Order: sequence, then structure tokens, then C-alpha cells
Amino acid sequence: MERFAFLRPFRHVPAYVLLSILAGCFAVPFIWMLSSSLKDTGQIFQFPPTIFPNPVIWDNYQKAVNFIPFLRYLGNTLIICTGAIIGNVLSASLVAYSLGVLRWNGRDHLFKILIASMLLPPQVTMVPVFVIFRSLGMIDTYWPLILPSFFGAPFFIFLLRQFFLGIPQELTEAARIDGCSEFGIYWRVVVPLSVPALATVVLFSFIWTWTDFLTPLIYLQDQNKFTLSLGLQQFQESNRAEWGMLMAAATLITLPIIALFFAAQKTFIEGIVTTGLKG
Amino acid sequence: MNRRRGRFGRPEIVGLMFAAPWLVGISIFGLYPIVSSFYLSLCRYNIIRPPAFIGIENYSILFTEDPLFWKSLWNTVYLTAFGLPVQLGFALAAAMLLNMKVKGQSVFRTLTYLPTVVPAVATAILWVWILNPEYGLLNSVLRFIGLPAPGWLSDPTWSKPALILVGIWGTGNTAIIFLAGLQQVPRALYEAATVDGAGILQQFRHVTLPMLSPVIFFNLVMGIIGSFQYFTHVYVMTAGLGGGGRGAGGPEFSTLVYPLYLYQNAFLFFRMGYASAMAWILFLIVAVILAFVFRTSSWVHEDS
Amino acid sequence: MQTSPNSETFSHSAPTPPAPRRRRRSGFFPLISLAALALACLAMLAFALPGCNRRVDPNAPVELRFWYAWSGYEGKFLQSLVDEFNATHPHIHVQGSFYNIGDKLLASIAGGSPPDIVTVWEFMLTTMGESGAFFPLEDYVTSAGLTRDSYLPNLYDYGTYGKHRWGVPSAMNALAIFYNTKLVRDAGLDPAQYPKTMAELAEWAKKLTLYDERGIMRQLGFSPSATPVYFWNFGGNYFDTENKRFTLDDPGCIRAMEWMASVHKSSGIVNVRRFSAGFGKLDSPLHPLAQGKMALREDGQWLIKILAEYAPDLDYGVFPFPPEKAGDTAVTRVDSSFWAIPYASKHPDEAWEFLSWLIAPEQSARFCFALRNIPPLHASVNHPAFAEARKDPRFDFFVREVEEGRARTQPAMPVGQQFQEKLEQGQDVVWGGSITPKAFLENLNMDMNRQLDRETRMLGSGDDL
Repeated sequence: MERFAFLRPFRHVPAYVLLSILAGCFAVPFIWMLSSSLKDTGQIFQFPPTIFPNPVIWDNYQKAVNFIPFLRYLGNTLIICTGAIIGNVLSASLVAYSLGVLRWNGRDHLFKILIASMLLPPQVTMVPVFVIFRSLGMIDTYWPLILPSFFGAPFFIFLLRQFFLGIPQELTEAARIDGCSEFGIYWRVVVPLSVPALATVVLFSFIWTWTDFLTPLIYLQDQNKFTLSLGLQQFQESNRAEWGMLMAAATLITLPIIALFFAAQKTFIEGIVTTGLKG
Repeated sequence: MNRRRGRFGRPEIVGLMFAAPWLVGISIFGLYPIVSSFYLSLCRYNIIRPPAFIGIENYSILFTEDPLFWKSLWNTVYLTAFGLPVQLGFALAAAMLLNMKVKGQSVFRTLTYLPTVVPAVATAILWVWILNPEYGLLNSVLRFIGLPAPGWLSDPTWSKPALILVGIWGTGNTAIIFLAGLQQVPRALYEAATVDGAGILQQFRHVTLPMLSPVIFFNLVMGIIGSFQYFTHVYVMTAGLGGGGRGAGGPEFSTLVYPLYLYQNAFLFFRMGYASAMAWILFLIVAVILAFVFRTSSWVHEDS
Repeated sequence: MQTSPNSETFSHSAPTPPAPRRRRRSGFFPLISLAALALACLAMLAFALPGCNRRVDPNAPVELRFWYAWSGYEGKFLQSLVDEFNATHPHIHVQGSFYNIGDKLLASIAGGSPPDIVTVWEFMLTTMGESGAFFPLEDYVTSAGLTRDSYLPNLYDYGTYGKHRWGVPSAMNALAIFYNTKLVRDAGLDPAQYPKTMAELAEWAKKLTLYDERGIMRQLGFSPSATPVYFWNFGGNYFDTENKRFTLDDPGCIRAMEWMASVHKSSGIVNVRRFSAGFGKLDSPLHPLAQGKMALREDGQWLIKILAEYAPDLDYGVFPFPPEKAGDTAVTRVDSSFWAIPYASKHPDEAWEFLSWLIAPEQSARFCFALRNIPPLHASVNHPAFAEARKDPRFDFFVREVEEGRARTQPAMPVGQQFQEKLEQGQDVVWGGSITPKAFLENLNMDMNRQLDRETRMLGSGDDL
């Protein structure tokens, strides 16, 4: 047996080959984006194309940042993200407390309705919701992008409810016997125990708000108020075929999210991989 | 704790109070819009002037006079019927690869998941460039291998497959969910199957698939929903030179998906009533399809 | 009701909820600090968001928002005019910004707080005006002393539908055919003997379309798009202004459409599309004519400036659209974007004061000179500020086409927006060959007339404003 020990490291070679092809398929577009963003027009339209830009051109980034204007849109996006995160965390945890911790008649029916409401395409309600915000005078403000998150997003409620179900009942019961009010139990027992789940809510609501396109497209008209996603799309409309600049802009708006992803990878991947899927 | 069913007392009041944000939300942003949307669908409404009731005219125009309605519906059905299975299959295959016990697996998992956090607009712009018929990466590779290089987004035959391809790049989510499902399959089942002399294919057919069926079902349902609200990629990738949302959905309307046409009617042509009629039809279609999927879900293994 | 924005991408799934992990935290979150944090954030938001408590100072200038559709050097020049206006008109302050004409404008008008002056394409003007989006300008225009004689031929009624004038033309483009002299000569053709009939033009297009040995298009001869100029030159009339009916089934229109389809067919439409996917935006070095990838191109005189800037060495010329048969009179098309005042503007008088300054002969001449566009007034075309542009004979050719009455405008129609969209996208289907030009035009005609009927039935004559 021992004689073939040196072969042991190689038994996974086929697996690595397949995995590398797979990972390559997912990674190559990123590399292409990055490499194009560092090329000038001549290199962009070179035939056949090359992966490594030579010479490396940084101009595209500078031009893109000035054209978009990146910092302003970053600020706008962060404002909206902050609002959406606060709204989602507060409202979803309250509702999830009702559906996951409290016991009351009708709770399970409500939960089913909640699940069903996740299946509704936003286009169905798009026009009347626009009319509502219009009558509130909120078109071309950030309110339509923030306000709905204060009313409980079904996905986050679902997520937190699943987490709350795992909190041992003895803890909440003990607090109840100690004379704690329901809100007190929610705030002092359940919320502190749920920091990891709340972090997931924060993370996902940040990313979704950052990447959202349809809502800003409909509600924001003044270009000083645009978000990064909307700004990038408008930038593309007026700079077609300036691929170096476009790729630089696309890289810039993707980088923060990727950085965040790596920083919070534990919350992300661990959370996703250990999915319970109790849907 | 054994309270009698059907009673309404303090716990119910407290429960409803905690659920109040969502109850108010679903009323304002869900129920009311659905009802209101139905009323608007019976009106001619350009939002500047008050809605004028016209009965079922919007519906009769949609069904009898507007070929683009049917075209857009077909495009969406096409992407669901052909794109979804391809993407689910790809995600499942990827998940099985990612489930192998080898070192460095976390790197591969990360790479698979990474594209799903890229903003949709950035994805779309990146892929317009990759799919560029003359200078794009994909066609360069295809030519290098000696395969024909299609016109992708500029060719009505290839534009929808191009969109499906872009979708595949974003299947990381689905793959990771599949992976989680795979990891829950008890090893003992495979060992038992091996003892019974089952080959790899048979194991897949008789162990993996049944045990994974709830996850497949979940991904299928989410996929159908996703497909019927598919908008951003087409809006960005197919936008005409004019800009401002005009001309998207080409060439030859081959990528005019239902949500895009709905959006155009509402926000480009000023036909909010007409768009509301489309919204209601969308609502019914999704409801019918989901009802069908849930009704025929006997293949889903209800063990776990 | 919220759905995750993420789930609308085509990845067919929503991110997965993580499973509950039992991790006890003994940490105690004081209620007050979190509530305070939330409040602080909300307050921050409320400040950051545009509030409604703007202070009103009676001496402050009236703030106007002006959306224009020019970017780059054109936008900069227009902005400099705006600054000049602000400096000389202390009671008004105009804030200009660039936007892409399209869905943003509609949503903004629908939203109830649109800008005070907007720029729209001609085909949107009447559609939007008739649906109540714009302030009628006929009284303003009359009071500014502008008469039929002030305008170049055929232009006084441009943008007027029924009795309402929904906007004023900004800066105009006349169309003609640009040719790349070298490419034309290489194909053995003589630019001096430019095509005198549509059949000859088609022949040129064919001779000038070249493929390389791999069968990939190397040079595009000519790719006409379904604009009225072809309908007119084939003797077709597609809109009966008198009776307000579409007449797209006019034999002349059908012949024009068939001619365009045949040109696309002989170049190979699939190849044309692939080839065109590589084209960049037009005001850049990536213009196909500047890159020498295209031999003939229908375009406006503004291109002269682009070519001078990005392809100074390019040898090119211009010839007019030919008529269908030799000897017939040919026409061209002049078009323009429009400046309009949204109906919801709170300061239409001030908005007009700005507009009337902007379209006055001097400003108009300067603006059009900077853009190499054509101003709509005689006084501007003959203004000293515009004289420099006319020294280039190629440019002057365009101006004379309009001055001498050989240019026509698209008639105003209340369904112009839909017509434009359907024609623009529908032409692709015709070139693709899945419908005959005749059937396409007949369908479109029926469709557009039906929409026209509904529009007029619903809106009356637009008098209920």
C-alpha cells in the first residue's frame, strides 16, 4: 500500500480538471471585464483579442469616474441602502417575531399568505404603486426606494422566522415569567440572540438595494439623484462602444460588492451552504 | 399553552400588532394595487388626465389587435420553457461538482457564486461586450476552435439563446442551493445503493434525484417567478441607439419579453391602463402556472 | 409588497435563507441606543432627501430646470448659453442638465414635478402635447412677433397640430448622403456622377458592399432606414394632414419600402446587423464613416463637424437623395428636436422668457453654429454668427436645401410616438424577410389609423385643456 502513497495526491485530478473548467467559465468574464477596462481603443478592437493589456491604460477609470459622477452616485446609493437596511431589519424582525415566536390563532394562515406573496411579480403592482407614490408627491425622491422596506419584505421575514424558530423556547418563556413585556422579550432576548441572522438581512438588503435597477429607473429622474446602477446604465447609453470606459465603470460598481462579499464571506457562503431549505 | 382554536384574545392582538408592519404593507403595496390595477385595466389612462372607463377595450386590443402582446408572451414563455431547464440542469451539474470532497473546494464555490452578486446592469453591459459579434471574447474563442460565430444579440435567431447564456453565468445561487440539498442526502442511502449494485447513473436516478426533489421544486418555482419578471438584462442589453428605453427588445422584437413590453406601455407610451391590463394577465398567467406546478408536484419526495 | 430585486435577474432563484445557527450571544443591546441610532439615521435621511420645506424668499430668482439632450461639447456650449442668460437675467435662474430623451421624461411628467423646459424628439411632441403634457405655445410665439415669414420654408407649422403649437424647434438637421471618396473610387465609381435615381443608388450600395475571404463583411455600402425621405422620393405620402389619416398603403410608400428591403437583401441583412453591432456612438471616432467601414451613409449636416474633429483626413463628399425616376424633383427631410414647456411647470412665463431668448436669432445662430445644425429662422441663418459655417460648401449645400424649400418635415400626429417605435422596430422585421413590405405597411396603416381613431375619440380635439 505504502508504495503507491505518492500517487494519492493525484487521485483527484479528474475532479480538479472539471472544477477548473467550471470555475473558469464563471471567472473568465470577470477577467475579460478587468482586462478590457485597462485597454485603449486600439487594443480593444485588436484582432484577435488579447487577455493582457499592453500597455496598461488607467485613463478609462479616471474618465468613467468623472463622467458618471461616481462619488455622487455612490453617496446616493449609500443613503438609499442605509434607509432600506434600517427598514428591513426593524420591520422584518418584528413581523418574524409574530410569526416565529408568538403563538396565536391565525398565525400559520398569515405565514402561508406571506409565502404566497413572495410569488407575485413586481410588474403586477408597478403601475398602481407608481400612482400611489405620485399622489404622495414622492416621485423623483428616494422615498419610493426606501419606504417599502419599512413594511416588511416577505423574504426577510421568512428568513428571520426560520431563525427565530430555532431559539429555545425556555429562554422566551423564562423572560415572560419574569414579567417581561412581549416587546421586551423581542428586544432584549430575541434580537440579541439573532445578530447573525440580522447580519444576513443587512447584507442582502444592502446588495439588493445596490444592484436594484427597475425601481430607481421608474422613480428617479433628476440625474443628480441617480444610483450607481442607474447611472451606469445611463452612462452606457451615451457611450456605446467605448468599451474600455464601460468596462472600467462596470468594474467600479462591481468591486465594492465583491469586496463586501469577501469580507463577509462567512455570513454569506456559510449561511447559504448550510441552508435548511424549509420552504 | 393548549389554547382552544378559533379564540380571539390577547395573544391574537399582540400577534397582529407585531405583524402590523407587513399587514399594512401588503395592503398598501399588494392588495390595493392588485384591485386598483384591475380597475385601471378597464380604463384609458395616461396619468396626466384622470382615468376614463372604457370597459374591456384594453383586453380586446391585447387579444385581437396587438401582435406584440403575443410576441412578448411567446418570448417570455420561450425563455422559461427552454432557458429554465438548461439553467437548472447546469446548476445541478455544477452543484454535483462542487459537492466533491477535494481540497480548495471553497475557492471553486466562491467563484461559482461570485457572478450572482454583480449588479445586473454591470452584468448586462459586460455581456454585450463579450457577445459582440466581431470583437467579443466569445466569438473569438468560437472562431479559434473553428466553430461558426453567430451574431448573438444582433441576430433574431440567436438573441434569446444569448440571454439564456447570460442567465447561466448567474446560476450560482441555484447551484449553491442544490449543493446544500446534496449535502443533506444521507451517505447511508448511497452506501445501501452501492450494496444493491447500483451504478453511478442509477444512484443519481434513484437516490440523488428523489432526495433532491424538494430543492428542485423550490428552484423551479423561483425560476418561473424570476423568468416572468425578467427585465433588467434585456432593457440594458438590447436598448436602441436612441436611448431612454426606446428600441429595446430588438432585433425584430425577438427579445421583447413580457415585462419589458409592459414597462414600455406604462412608461414610454403613456398607456397606463393598457399596461394594467397586461399586469393583470401576467398575474393570472403566473397564478395558473404555479397552480399547475403545485398540483403536479407529486414527484416531489416529501421525506425531509 | 416587495420582491427581491435579485430574483428578477435571470438566475432563476432567490438567495437562500441561511439555516438557524444556534449561537448564543450574551450581549445586551440597550434599547435606547439602537432606537437613537435608527432615529439619527432617519433624520439624516430626511435631510438628505429633497424636503418640501424650501424657504421662499420673495427676492430670490425664479428657479427653472432645463433638461437638454446634448452631451459633450454640444452640452457644454448650450450650458454656456444658459450661464449667459443667468448672468443677464437676474430674476431667473436656469439650471440645465443633460438627459436621454425617453422614459425618464415621461415618468417625470407623469410624476407631477417635471422640469420647466424639456427637449423632446419631434415624434413625441404632438403625442405628448395632445395628451396634456405640454403647455401650448402658440400665443407666446405670436406675441414674440414670429410669423410664417420669419421661418425658413415649410417650417412655420412644424410642431403644430390643429390649433396648438406644443413646442419650438431647437436646432435642425437636413439629410443627404455622405460618401467616402476613396471607397467610392476604389469600387470604380465616380463621385461626380452620383446616383440620379433610386435604382442607381441601389446599384452603388451593392458595388460598395465588400466581404473578406472568410465571408465576413468588411465594408458596408449603404443601409437605408425607413425614414419618410424615401416615401416622399418615391412619390408616397404616408399621412394625410387634411383628414388626419395614415396613408401608408400608398403605392409610393410600398415601392419605397420594397426598394429599401431590396438594398438590405442584396447586402445580406444578417451581415449588416453583425457589422453594425460594432458601431459606436455617432459623435465619436467610432462613427462608421470616420472609420472607413461604410461607403455611403444617410446623415445630417452635423456630421461634418464630427468628421472634421475625429477624421480630419477623411476625403468625403455629399450628394442629395435621388428621386425614384430621373428628372423628378427630389426632396429631403429636415428634422429637429423641440423645446417644450411641461404643463405642470409652475413658471411657464419665465420658462418662455428663457426659451424666447434661446431661440432669438443671435443665440440660435450661435448655438447652431457650434453644433453645425441649421437654425429655423431666416434671421439666424443669415446672422453673422452663422456665416462662418456656411463657408464650407458641403455645409452650405444642406442649408440651401432647406432655404430653397426642398426639405420637408414629418407631419405632426398625435400617435407619432407609437408610429416611430413601430416603424423603427418593424423595419427590422421587413429587412429580415419574415413579412413583405406591402403587408407590413398595410398592417401598420390599419393599426395606426385605429389608434388615431381611439386617440381622437378619447381626447376630443385636445381643446379641453
